[in-house]
Amino acid sequence: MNNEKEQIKFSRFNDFLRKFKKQKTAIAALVVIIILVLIAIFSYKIAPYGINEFDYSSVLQGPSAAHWFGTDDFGRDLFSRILCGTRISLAVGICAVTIGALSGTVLGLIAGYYNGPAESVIMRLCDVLFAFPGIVLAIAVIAVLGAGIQNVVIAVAVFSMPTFCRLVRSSVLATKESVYVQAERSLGAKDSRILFRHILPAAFPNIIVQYTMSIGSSIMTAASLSFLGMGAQAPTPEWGLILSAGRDYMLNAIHLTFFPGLAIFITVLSFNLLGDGLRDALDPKLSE
Amino acid sequence: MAENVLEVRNLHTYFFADNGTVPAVDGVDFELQKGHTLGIVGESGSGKSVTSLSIIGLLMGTTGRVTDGEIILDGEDITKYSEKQRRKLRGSKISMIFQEPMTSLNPVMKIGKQIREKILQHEKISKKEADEEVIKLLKMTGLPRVERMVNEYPFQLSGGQRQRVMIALALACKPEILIADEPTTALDVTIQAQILDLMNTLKEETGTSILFITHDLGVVAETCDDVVVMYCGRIVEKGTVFDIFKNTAHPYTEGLFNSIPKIGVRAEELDVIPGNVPNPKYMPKGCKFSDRCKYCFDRCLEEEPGFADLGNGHFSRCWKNFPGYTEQEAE
Amino acid sequence: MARYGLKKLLEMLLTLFIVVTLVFFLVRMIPGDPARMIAGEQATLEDVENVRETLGLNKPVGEQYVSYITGLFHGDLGTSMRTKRPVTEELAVRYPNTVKLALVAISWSVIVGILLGVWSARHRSKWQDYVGMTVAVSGISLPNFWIGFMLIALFAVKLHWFPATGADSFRHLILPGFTLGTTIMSILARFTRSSMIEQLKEDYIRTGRSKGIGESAITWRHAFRNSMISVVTVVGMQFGFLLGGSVVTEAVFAYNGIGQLLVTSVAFRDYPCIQSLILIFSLHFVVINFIVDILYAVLNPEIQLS
Repeated sequence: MNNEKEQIKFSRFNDFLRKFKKQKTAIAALVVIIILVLIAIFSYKIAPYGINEFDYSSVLQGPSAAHWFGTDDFGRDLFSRILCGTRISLAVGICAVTIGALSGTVLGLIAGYYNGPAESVIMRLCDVLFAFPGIVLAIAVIAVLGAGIQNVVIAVAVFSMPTFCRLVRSSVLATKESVYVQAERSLGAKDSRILFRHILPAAFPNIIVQYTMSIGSSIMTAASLSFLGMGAQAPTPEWGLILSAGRDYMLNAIHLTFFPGLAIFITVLSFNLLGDGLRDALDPKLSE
Repeated sequence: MAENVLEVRNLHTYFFADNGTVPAVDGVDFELQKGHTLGIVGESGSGKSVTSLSIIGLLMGTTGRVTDGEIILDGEDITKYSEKQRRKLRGSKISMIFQEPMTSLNPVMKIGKQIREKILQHEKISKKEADEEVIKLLKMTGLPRVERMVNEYPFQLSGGQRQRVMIALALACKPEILIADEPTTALDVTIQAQILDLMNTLKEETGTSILFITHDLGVVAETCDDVVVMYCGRIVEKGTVFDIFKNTAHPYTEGLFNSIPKIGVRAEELDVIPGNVPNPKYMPKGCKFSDRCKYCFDRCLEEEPGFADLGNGHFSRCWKNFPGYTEQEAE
Repeated sequence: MARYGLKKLLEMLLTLFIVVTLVFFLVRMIPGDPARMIAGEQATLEDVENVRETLGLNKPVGEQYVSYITGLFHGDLGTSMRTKRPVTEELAVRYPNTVKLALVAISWSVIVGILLGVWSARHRSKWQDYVGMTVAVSGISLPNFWIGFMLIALFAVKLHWFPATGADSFRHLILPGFTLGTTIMSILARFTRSSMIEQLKEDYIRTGRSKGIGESAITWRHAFRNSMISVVTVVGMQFGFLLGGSVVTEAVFAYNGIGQLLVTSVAFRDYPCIQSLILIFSLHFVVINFIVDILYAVLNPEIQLS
């Protein structure tokens, strides 16, 4: 019986792998993400220049053999700064979404599984958080906590939490009424067993897809906050901040805005494409 | 011999999927006589629904395609038609009723408008005239309070009522051929009988020929004049409803009859056909039914039989129906 | 329908009430001594007391809350700490500017997004679909501020077709309006496509085809009309991104709107202004979502007639 269950799980995973292998773009995106993670880990070792290595003899230079992405107003090598910025963006995106996903999942499980006052309170909280449009909620959190990269993580986590909460709740509501959960309950299974053996695994595919997509949008939100001066502070090589600093030199040094934006684009695009591929591979409705 | 409104010759419809080609319909011949009802009988996967979709031309949106054969309507092979020409036939000369009355109507469009849309597509009349026609059609199907119903949405109607609306819709523009794909399967038994009666009555009144797709031999007995039995994309037996019921020749047809519960016979004696419809990828080499057939002998495994002519238009695709067959061979 | 509308109205009012309350407590949620934090590091004790006085942090919370709510009903949003003028005065020019920008952005992006989505769905898995979805996924992955700068570099600096900054004429709205709409356009295109693909698989589409009506009638009169029910909900949610996105877009184009004011206010710790602006953004979002809920019912006969 247990063996059989394992086999079903295994075949489901195999089925997912088989479908995922067909998603060529998603695999390419995964490869890019792996490269980005490697860059994030080794950036300070592989960067050709130090991130705060001033060189007043070559200020605002365009891309060249010595400086692939050119130099900024202090003569710092833009390529090195962008390489090292990978670590910040990935760390902020992943940390924030992980916090948001964990708290959202727990609240969603509680709200979906135990109806009554707990559900009303949690769902009302989500409604209210949803009532602050987009990045405005993050700005409100920054307004309370002050600017800075740690606060950006908290702001983005708060911002992504309600999405997970609603997602998990609706998944719980759907699974709770399913025949096998009803059967388990009639056999006297404990709540925790039902939650962790049945309901959470059923919600898992949706959580994974949302998680991947959220990392992309969180990296974007974090970069936007830094761009607005509410996140990372100079001289941190944060992409949004580098881009913001480059705006004063738009006329003669467009590379200062172009390359950091490209870095954000590639990173966010990779997470979005991976999310799309995972969704297509996990969605039973799309199988033909 | 009566006039044929539809002739299907050597029809092949294949589905082209990533993991291989599936011959859903693999060389099918039959003819539908004017004013008759032809039943196409088979299990799911036998190709009976694909045959009907090929005739009406609704394979778009699937990977299926008619790869060979002819579908002759009014003396013309419509498989050679362009999509535009096919569309003109759809609804005007060939109509269709589907299995799922609950989902076959557009949920956000009023009943009347859904029927009117079809009439206006094919006939050059005013909206007002079309509306009158809609009322007439709906009344013909025996629906109550028709004048109000035209302004209602599908969710306000019961399943049986929706299927009547579908029949009215199908009969709009007076089609020569009506394809009914399991029209009663999703309905309650009492409603089923009403819908079948209605279809029989309307056939008498309008002279429409019906192609009746079903898995239910009881329904066949009530409605059909001629029967085609399909298995794995091929016809295994065809003939008049009398021959199929009284002079059953093919073991598969026999199996279908034996699996119907009979009054006075206990359920455990029910004779079901063993096994399943074979996977198209692992089709038996000889007769397609050989792996489930209780009469199967060596030749069946090696060579697929052609049709044995049993007279009076009754054909069976089985070695044991050929004159040379002896009981000994079966040993 | 009436019951549904009333239920949604009450829900909206409840959400609004909680939002107003949260915004009121915004200042009090600042960790440590809010007045100290707001006044800044170099502030004297006197300055801190001054801030406490201005924001009413020295009075009991209940009393402050009541006067805050009564103020709101009288259209009093408080006084800006930065300019010492009433917040309403600060909004007089900026608010209409942002509304104009939002309207330009939403009108082009909704139309283009829906058309692109329908187009992709109709040509599913063909080159049109790949083109459409590449545009859409790029749109959600490109930073708005980057698109803005590249547009400025090309159309303002190089070609001189449009002004880079300012809010005086329709010409000023083209570049920021386009920038602001890109994300919504892309999200809508993706959503419309998947919703259309789902609808095109439904049984009633097959019935429609069996009637002999053309593919464009199938697409628009049948599939699209059904997709609209869910697309409308997404359009409503996108208004949120639009309002939030205006903060970034206005910063890029130095556009004199309320988004720009929010950024300045956060930098200057001008809390009366911050509170009012967050309240305004949320008010709009909540009201728009209420309208969307009603529209959803109008499009869906099952709710409309219940």
